[in-house]
Parts: sequence; C-alpha cells; structure tokens
Amino acid sequence: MGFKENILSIIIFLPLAGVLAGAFINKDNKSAIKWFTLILTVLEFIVSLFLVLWFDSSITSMQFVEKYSWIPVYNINYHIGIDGLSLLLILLTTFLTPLVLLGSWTYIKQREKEYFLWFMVLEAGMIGVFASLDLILFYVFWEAMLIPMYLIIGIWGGPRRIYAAVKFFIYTMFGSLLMLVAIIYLYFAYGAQTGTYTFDLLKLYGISLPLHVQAWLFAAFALSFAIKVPLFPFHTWLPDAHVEAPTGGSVILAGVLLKMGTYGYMRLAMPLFPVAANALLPYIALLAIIGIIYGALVAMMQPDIKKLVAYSSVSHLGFVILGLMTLNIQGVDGGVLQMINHGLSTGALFLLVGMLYERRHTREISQFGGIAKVMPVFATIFMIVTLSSIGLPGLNGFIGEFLILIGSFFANPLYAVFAGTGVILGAVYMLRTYQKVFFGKITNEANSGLKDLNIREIIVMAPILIMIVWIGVYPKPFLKIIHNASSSYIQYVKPQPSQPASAGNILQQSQMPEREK
Amino acid sequence: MYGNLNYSSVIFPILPQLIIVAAIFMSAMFDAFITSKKWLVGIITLLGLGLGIVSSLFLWGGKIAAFSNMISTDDFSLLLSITVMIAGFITVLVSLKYVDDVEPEAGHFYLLILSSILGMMFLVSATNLIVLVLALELMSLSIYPLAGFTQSRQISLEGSMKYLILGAFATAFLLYGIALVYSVLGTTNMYTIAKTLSDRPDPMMNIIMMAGVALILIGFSFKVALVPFHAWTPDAYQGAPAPVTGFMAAAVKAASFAAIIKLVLIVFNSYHVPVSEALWWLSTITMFTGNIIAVLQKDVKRMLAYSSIAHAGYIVVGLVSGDAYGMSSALFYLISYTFTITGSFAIITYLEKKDGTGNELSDYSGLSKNHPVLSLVMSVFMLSLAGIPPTAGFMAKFYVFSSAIKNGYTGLAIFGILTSVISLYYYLRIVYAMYFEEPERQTSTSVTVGISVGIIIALWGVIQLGIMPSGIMSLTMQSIQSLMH
Repeated sequence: MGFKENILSIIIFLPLAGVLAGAFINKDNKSAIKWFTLILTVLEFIVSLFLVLWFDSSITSMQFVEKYSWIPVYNINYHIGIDGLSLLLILLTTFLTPLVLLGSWTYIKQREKEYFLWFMVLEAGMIGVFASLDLILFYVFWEAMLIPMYLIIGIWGGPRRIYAAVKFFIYTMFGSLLMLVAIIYLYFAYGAQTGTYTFDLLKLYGISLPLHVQAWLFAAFALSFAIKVPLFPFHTWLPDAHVEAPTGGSVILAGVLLKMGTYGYMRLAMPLFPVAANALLPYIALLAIIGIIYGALVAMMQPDIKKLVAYSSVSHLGFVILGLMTLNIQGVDGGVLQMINHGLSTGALFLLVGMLYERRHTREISQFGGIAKVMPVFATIFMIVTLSSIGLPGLNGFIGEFLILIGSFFANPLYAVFAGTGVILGAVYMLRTYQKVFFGKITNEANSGLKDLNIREIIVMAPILIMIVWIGVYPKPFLKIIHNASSSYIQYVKPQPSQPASAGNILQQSQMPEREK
Repeated sequence: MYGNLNYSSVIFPILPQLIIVAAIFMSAMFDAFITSKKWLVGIITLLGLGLGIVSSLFLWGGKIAAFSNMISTDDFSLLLSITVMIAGFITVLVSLKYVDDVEPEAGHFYLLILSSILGMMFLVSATNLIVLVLALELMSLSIYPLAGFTQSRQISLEGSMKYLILGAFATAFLLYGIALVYSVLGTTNMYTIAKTLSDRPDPMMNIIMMAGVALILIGFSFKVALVPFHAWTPDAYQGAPAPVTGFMAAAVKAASFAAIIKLVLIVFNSYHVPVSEALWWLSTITMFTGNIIAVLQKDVKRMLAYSSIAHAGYIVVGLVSGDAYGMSSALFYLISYTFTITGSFAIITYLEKKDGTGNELSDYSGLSKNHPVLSLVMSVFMLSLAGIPPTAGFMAKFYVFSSAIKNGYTGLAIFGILTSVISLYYYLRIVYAMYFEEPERQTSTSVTVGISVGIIIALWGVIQLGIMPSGIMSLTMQSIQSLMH
C-alpha cells in the first residue's frame, strides 16, 4: 500500500469517502456543504494530476495497475489500470467536476446537500468506468453511475424532468443489459477455448471467435455504446435528458457521460471483436456521418439554445466515432482529442447557457438580442467557446476536427467530404445563434438590466478557456499521451497489412482459429 | 428395531427444529399469562429464532439422515433453514409494534410465524415425499390465518380465503402426484426413487409416472406462484398485513423453492422427462406476465406481489439448466431476494396505516423530504429488486443468467434480461415517487427500534451480497453438492 501504488484507487474512492463524511453535515448548513464538496473535488483534481506526473507515455501497456481478488468464485478481480486514453478522460472528469459544483453554487436552490453529494458519487462512478480492466467491474461502475444521474435529472431538472430521467435510465439500461449477456457469453466462450475463465479485459483481447458469434457479441456491445454516445438513430433520449437536466447535469452528461460510449467502442467493442468490427465498420462510420449532418441540421432549427447545444453534441460525437472508425493514427488521435475538446467546449457552452438562464429564466433565442452591450465579459467568453466549438484554428476544436478529417480522407475520401459539410453547418448554426443573441440592439426590455458575470462565474470559466487555448496552440503533450493508446487500438482492430479489410478476407480470417496476439 | 434407540442420534439432527418447538411452547405460555404488551412474546420468538440459527451453524458441514431416512440434515437444509429463520427474525422484529397496534390481544401471531417456520425447516430437510407434504401443510396452515390476520379488514379475509382454497387445491395436486409416483415405484423416499429410476434406464416411461411428476410440479408451482398458477398471489399479498406479506414473499417462497430444487436435482434429473422444457416455459411466461402486470399497479403491495411472481420466474431460470451451477444460482437468488423483500416490507410496514391503507404510490410521494434515510434505503431495495449493481439483486441475476448462458439457454437469458428492463419502470416508479414528487402526507411517528434493526439486517444482507457475494456463492454451491452426494 502506498500513495503511488494505489493512486488510482484513491482517486476512485476519495469522492465516496467524501460522501460518507459529507452525509454528516447538517443539511441546513448549505455553505458548509458547498465548500466541503468543492474543496474535496479540487483536492481530487490535484491528486489526479499526479497521474500525469508519473505517467510514462513511452510504454504501451496499462499503468498504475492494481489487481485484487474480488469474487474468486468467478475469477472476478478488482483490476484497474489506465493508458493514455483513460488518463485524459479521468483528468477531464476531475477537471470538470469542481467547475460544475462551483457553477451550480446559486443555480440549485433546493436540497443542496443531496445535489452536491450525488455529484461526488457520480464522479467516483465515472472514474471507475475509465479505470476498470475487468469487465464485471466495468459493468458495475457503468450501471451504478446511472443512479446519481437519474436523480440529478429527476430532482433538479426542468418541467419534464421525470419523463426525461426515466427515459434516460431505461434507454441506457436496455443497452447495457444486452451487453451484460454478451459479457457473460464471452466469459464462457473464452473459458471453453482456453480453460481459464476470466473477465480480464487484457486477456480477453486474445480471444478468437467465429464471425457470426463475434457479430452478435459486437452488436450487443456496440448497441449499448451507441445508445450512450449517442449514435444516430439511438439519440432520442439525449435532447430530453439534456434539456431537462440542471446545468451541472448537462455539463457532466455531455462532458463525460457521452464519452463513455466512445470510450467503450475504443476499449471494448472494437478490439474485442476485430473481425466483426471490421465487417461492420463502414456501417458505423455511415451512422456517424448521418449523425454529424443530422445533428447539425436539427440544431440549426432549434429555438432553444440548450436544445441547440444538445443536438450539436450528436454532431460532434459523430466526428469522434468517425475518427475512431478510420483506423489510422491521425483519425484515432483526432477522435480521442476531440472527446476531450467536446467535453471542454460543450461543457463550457452548457455552463454559459445555464448562467444566462439563471438571469433570464428562459433559453429561447428569440427572447435575446444585443446582450453583448450589457454583458461584455459573458459575450467574449461565449465567443471564444463558440469558435472553439466550430473549430477555428488556434483553438482546440480545430486540432481535433482537422486530424479526424485527415484521417477519414485517408480511410475514404467520401467520409471527409460529408464530414466536412458538418463542419460548415456547425459554423452556420453556432455563429447565427451567436449573432442573434449577442449582436444588434436590445429589443427585449428584460435584457437591458442583465448583470455581467460575477467573479465566481469567471473563475468557473477561466480554467476551461485556458485549456481551450492551450490545446489549440500547443496540443503536443496531449497527443503524446494519446499516441500509444491509439496505436495499440489500431493494432488490435486493423487487419494485418497483407489482408486489407475486404469482405472476402474477413471471411477467411474468421475461419482461422488463432488470431495473432 | 426400537430397542436400541439412540436418543442423541434422534435429537441431534433436528436440534434446530426442536429449539423452534420449544420456542413455540414458551411463547404460548407467555401469551397465555400476559394480557397486554404482546411484544414480549415476540422477544421470546426472537430468542428462539436466534438460538435456532446458532444451532444450525453448529451442525454445519455434516450430513445426517434420521428417522429411517425420512429427514436429512445437510448443508442444503441448514442453509435454507437459516434463511427462513432470518426472514422470520426480521419479520418478527418488524411486527413487534405493528401487532400491538393492530390486534392488541393477538400474541398468537408469533406462534403462527414460528410454526410455519417449523414447517419450512422440515420441508427443506425432508427426503421423503410424505414428510414433504406434511411439512408443506404445517407451513401453509400456519400462513393462512396470518394472511387474514387483520380480521376487521374485508380484503384481508378475502385474500386469505382465496389463498386457503387454492392452497388446498395445490396440496391435492401434490398428493395425487405423489400417489401416482408411489403407485409406479412403490416408494416415497426421494433417494430410493432416484436409484430405482436410474437403475432402469428406460424405466416406467409410462403415462402414470409422467402424470405424477407433472402433478407434483403443478402443486409446487401454485406454492411459489408461477404463472398460470399465480391467481391467489395478488389478493393474498395485498390483503395480508405488510410484515406477513414480506414473510410470505421471502420465507414461504424460499422453502417451497427449496423443495422444488431438491425434487429436480434428486428425483427428476434421473428421470428423463422434459421437466427442463416445462420449466423453460413456466419461467418465460412468469417473468413476462409478472412484470407486465406489475407495471399497471398503483398499490405498492400489489405491485410487489406481481414483482414477486416475476422473481419466481427468474429463480426458475436457474432451475431450467438443471445442473449444480444452476441450482446454486437459484439458491443464491432466493437468499438475496429474502433480504431484499423483507427489508422492503419492513419499510412498507412502517408506512402502512392501522386500517391497512397507506400503500398507494401517492403515499410515497415526497417521502425523501421527511425521511431521507428511509427513502435512500427503500431505493436501495428497489434497485436490488431491479437488479442494478452494486446490490444483491444484481449479483443474483448475474448468477442466474450466467448459469443459463453456460448451459446454452442464451435465448432464455436474453428474454429474462428484456423483461427486467420492463421491471425497471415500476421499481423506478417508487423511487421517483419518493424523490421527484411533492409530499402529500406527513408521517409523524418515528421509526421503531424493531423496524430499524430489521431494516439494518436486511440492508446489510443486500449490500454484503452485492459487493462481496463470493462467500455465499460458495456456500450455495457447497449446499447443492451436499445434496448430490
């Protein structure tokens, strides 16, 4: 036991320990609860920075690995460890959580104690998902994390919150339960093949199954993750959940929860079943491209800013998936970086929309106009975030989208053409919305008295802006962390160079009993 | 033969049962002499159950046949005995105040609980079909009056009456089935039946034997409320006092299922009738019907009645595969369900009013405002019933479905999983009533010590089995194996 050896466990369980301690704070002592959770999550972020310090980006294997026997009857282990992909997503989680709490400071006006504590439960669950290397452990975190989100949407959400919360929960559960069946099937299939029964992800990568079995298992995993991402046409829960959730819930939902879907593709679905993945890859890429364009078009039509941002997520996540499907280093690197970028810029957009809503209690675009005059700081920050979201060079969005477009051009020029359309559409709806809300004369009297951001709100936004610029100007350290994770993902999934991924070869491959490890 | 009767060999194997018998006498005496404060009788009951549990632990590990092989005390019977005694223990804890409130004179409540537990303990240790029926009747006849315990309530009596009549039918089916089996094989001892059947590989594959097995299966399907033999359940569960409903859902179900497990494992497995296929159908229909109808319910007790039907379906999934692994998973499911459902009903008991109302979903609205801890615990129980980690319910479903997948019943597992998505809706319905809605009524009374302790035990079980299930998983496996050798 030691800080360095068990740092991952400390990061997972620190928020839970905080919840236990925080439960004893009197619920009427609101500022104590807020400060307690804020300090704890900041501390959590600081601890997670040690991961960066000690992370060795030159090795491809998992790092900070901890493995303890958990349910020996099934050979289920508490097995955690991270690579560059997990590292960045964990950092994103620990980075966003304190900002979200600070952002919810005055937004939440009832049952504050529960709200702030549930967020810490959520944080622990999300980090657990990104760190698990045992499928059952992964599944437990994956599902357990639904409960806090369900409550956050259901208790503190908007008028249709109950509908949205139940829909969110049941949609996600539907997918993940089928995944559970696939996990168990995989366990017995691997056991029958090798004699060792295990849920250990790293061992299961070596399994070779006939194509039709792979296809079913891949379908179960892919469906579960497609709902989470969400990939078109499984996205219908997302607008409801986003619009009804309180600001903090939306930020975490968009910033981190959706990434679990893309993470799932990259960590589980694709490398576990490479043959099926290669066969179905064009279809997933197609869905991603439909999502990019469809999301953008629907976003364009929204009268509600929050709904607009929600649909823009469908479009952006389409980019991420497209990047992962290119199976070349540019595309995958870009996809992973775009996960982080989307977490930052969309998280920031939701925070900003929430700040506006707190002042005006509406999100209708038509209600606004000319607020740049009364809220100059807000307008500036919103501008930077908007530009980051549409991928202006010099800001983070550009790097991600650019890499994805290069990658998809190598994979199939048509992908790049259609995805490129999405970039243009994105610029159209974001800039047009910005113009309507901020420029021109103040037409609505209610807007003339709006107060600009206060110090607390600026403190919330500042770290995100710094990251947006940093990644945009100097993405090298981030790409360095990502690099090994992406290349080993490609190695797992991509058919060997002598056998390009054509249908005939895939069938041949599936008949070969042993896959190279 | 009776000349050299060794008393210790008679007393020893049924020590836990004898302790319960002693507790029954003690409670009866107390009940006769004290006129009010009947909770004192409950304390005696608790002591008896505690001693019973300890003595069962003491016997653990051995396998002793007694009374001319009528009864076998093995890990299987002991594990199940402990389970029903824990269920009884929680039920009595929860009832201490309830009984004094509702029927102040009724100390016999505890006696009936004890005698039904006695029946269950013999039921799980019986190796002879006649003992099986006798034990089943002892259990059932004690439960019928409990189900109609609140005599002032029409609905309670109606439910009890239905239960009695259909229960009598079930016994008739069972007895007839046993008679048919006896007529073919000439014995009622399970192991002898198994041996006779396996000695003659193409044995009495005749219609009489087949009918006998089918009738026995139907008889027990009534008892554990498998669709289409479930009609009594909703009324009996809704009408019975809340603690009794919990007891019925947990202990009666566990003991009856234990009998089925035993029959399938020892008797039916050596007889090549398509029992597994019949169970497959029963399981799918039960999971589906139970969950679908539960969605429509507005009364929480009735909802949990249908939910308990659905859970019986999940347990049968474990039986379908028929191997030790599947049986062990069913047993694990029973234990985790016992903790979850007794805990849920402890909370329902607290919220139920004296006149038996207070069980509507609207009565749970906004509960989290006045009772944050109680709501949180109730949510944990509901999530466990829905099978969401990290609770006992998840591990139970995981175990059961993995046994199905292991034995090639992947379709059944997928079907079961899909029905459990349906079930999410109504379990979440309770959670969101408690958390998302505004309170409609004020519950001013504080939670009694008995109820709190009961809830804590149940919660401990749910968390323990959800996070560290390994120990109990190996115990269930061990007890199944003790049955096979």
